[in-house]
Amino acid sequence: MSTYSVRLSVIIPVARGRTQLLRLVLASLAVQDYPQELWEVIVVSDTPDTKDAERCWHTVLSERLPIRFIWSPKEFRDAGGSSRNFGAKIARNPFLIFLDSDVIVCPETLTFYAEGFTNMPNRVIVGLYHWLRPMVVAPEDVKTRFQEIIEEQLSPLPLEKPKHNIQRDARQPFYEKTSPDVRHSGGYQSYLACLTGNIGIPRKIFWDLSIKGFREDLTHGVDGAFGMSLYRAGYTFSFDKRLVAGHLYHTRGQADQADSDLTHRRLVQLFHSDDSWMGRGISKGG
Amino acid sequence: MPIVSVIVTTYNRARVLGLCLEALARQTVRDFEVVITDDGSSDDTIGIVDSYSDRFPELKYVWQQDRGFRLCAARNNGIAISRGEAMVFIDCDILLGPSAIAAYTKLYKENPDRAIGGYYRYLPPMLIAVNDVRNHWGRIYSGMLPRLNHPHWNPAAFELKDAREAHGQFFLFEDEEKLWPQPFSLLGGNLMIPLHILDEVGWWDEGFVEHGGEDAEMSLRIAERYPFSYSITAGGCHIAHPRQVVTQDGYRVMDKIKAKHPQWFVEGEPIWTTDQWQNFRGRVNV
Repeated sequence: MSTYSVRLSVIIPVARGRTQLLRLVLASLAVQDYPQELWEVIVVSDTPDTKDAERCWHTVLSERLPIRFIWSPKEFRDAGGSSRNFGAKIARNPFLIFLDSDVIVCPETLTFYAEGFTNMPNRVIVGLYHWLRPMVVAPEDVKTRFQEIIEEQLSPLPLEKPKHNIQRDARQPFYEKTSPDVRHSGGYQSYLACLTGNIGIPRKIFWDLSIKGFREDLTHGVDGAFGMSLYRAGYTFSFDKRLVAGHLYHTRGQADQADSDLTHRRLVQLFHSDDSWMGRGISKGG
Repeated sequence: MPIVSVIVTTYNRARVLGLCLEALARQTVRDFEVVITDDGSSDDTIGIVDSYSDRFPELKYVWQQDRGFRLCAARNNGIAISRGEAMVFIDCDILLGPSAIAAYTKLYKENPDRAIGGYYRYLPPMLIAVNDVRNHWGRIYSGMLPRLNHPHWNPAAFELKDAREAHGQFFLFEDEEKLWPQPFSLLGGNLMIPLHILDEVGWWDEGFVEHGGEDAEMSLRIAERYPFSYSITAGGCHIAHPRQVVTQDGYRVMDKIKAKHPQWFVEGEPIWTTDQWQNFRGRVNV
């Protein structure tokens, strides 16, 4: 399988209130160096708000990419699990890439994913993303000077309030230790590193009976639960540090944060109640 | 989970789609899902979808980029995100009679191993408004035929009758349902195909990018393994439009069908003639 025969479906869930950032991720997809006939984009509006959905659709309409758009005013109420699953159901290509709507990705992203799937067709490929400060970026800038934007945002800054400044991807150690071609063991920590803002997964693994896509009953922690399911099913991750993305920083409300903490505790409870799992996690990831 | 998913295909016909959805909202049963699948509209279709979101227990909208006439791809999008067991396909200019979904549900429960062709008559455009459907749909539908004589209606420009009546007057039977003898009989404007049959014979053939023919081709695939039935109760009316199939398109479509299913054709005979039709009837011989 050569790199240029891998067909990809890029799935982008758009959460409520983040429609304006969708233009940026679509702009960075518009300059991908991977042949356009080999990939498609599926945008799933994750909002009951009509105006948001309409804005999202108008953004999609203005792009000249092979895009499909899904909106279900009644169903999407979770943390993006159901919308990502809808995207995966409708995807036509054998390899799925999930991007958040508020990331910008490097122009070689799809090529790197395709290379990864060519070498390891049964592996989950995890890209990284750095948190960028809140900023105004024009789509044209994303197209023409992606690298400069990332470098500007990653330059040393006074870190009085680190969350509001630059944040390197917390998973950096994984990427430093492994190369794209080296099998990573997975393990206790790697499932937590399986963030779904920039990740690629073969469709047959995504719909494996022991995975069955993302959980749709969580309001937070979908990534962690997904990573745990993959690990428990015996799948492995590959961390590719070439897959650079910038994630535009957004704040969380207090209620969201409290909800997130609860969800995290629930996840830990859920998965760690299984002794065998705990043992595997510690031995491999410790 | 709903038994029936109604998949409505549309393209830049927001007003007519409103009529179609209003007729669906006036059904005698409520437990069905509506999936609106859009072949690339740029009008206010999404606004119409939103205005009906509270009228159905489940409503989804999927849009694909406008790259010409891609009805089959749109229908396949609808199948992919639907949850029902039986797929009812209607065009956005079909106004289903009040008992149509109840009839489809009953027929599917009685025998899930057959496809159902729904009846429709042509209704002149401009003669019906959303409020008519909202307030008097039952009466209008039952008394629809006399309205065909409206002075603004020019029957010469349209097909007045259901095309199938010309080929055997099957709707004149007193029985509501008969085994359907012709392989070309299912019309894409109003029909039901159980999902397991679609999975077995294949979804809509996306190689059909001309107006028409895709339903005939699907019918042949189904006819090789499953019977058809038809139902008058699962009927509706079709807001008429000038025929879009020009002769060249028609021949091109038939060439595709012939190439794919040569076993159904007698070499050297012209298509669509009475003799040919009788030949089909005789061959199936029910």
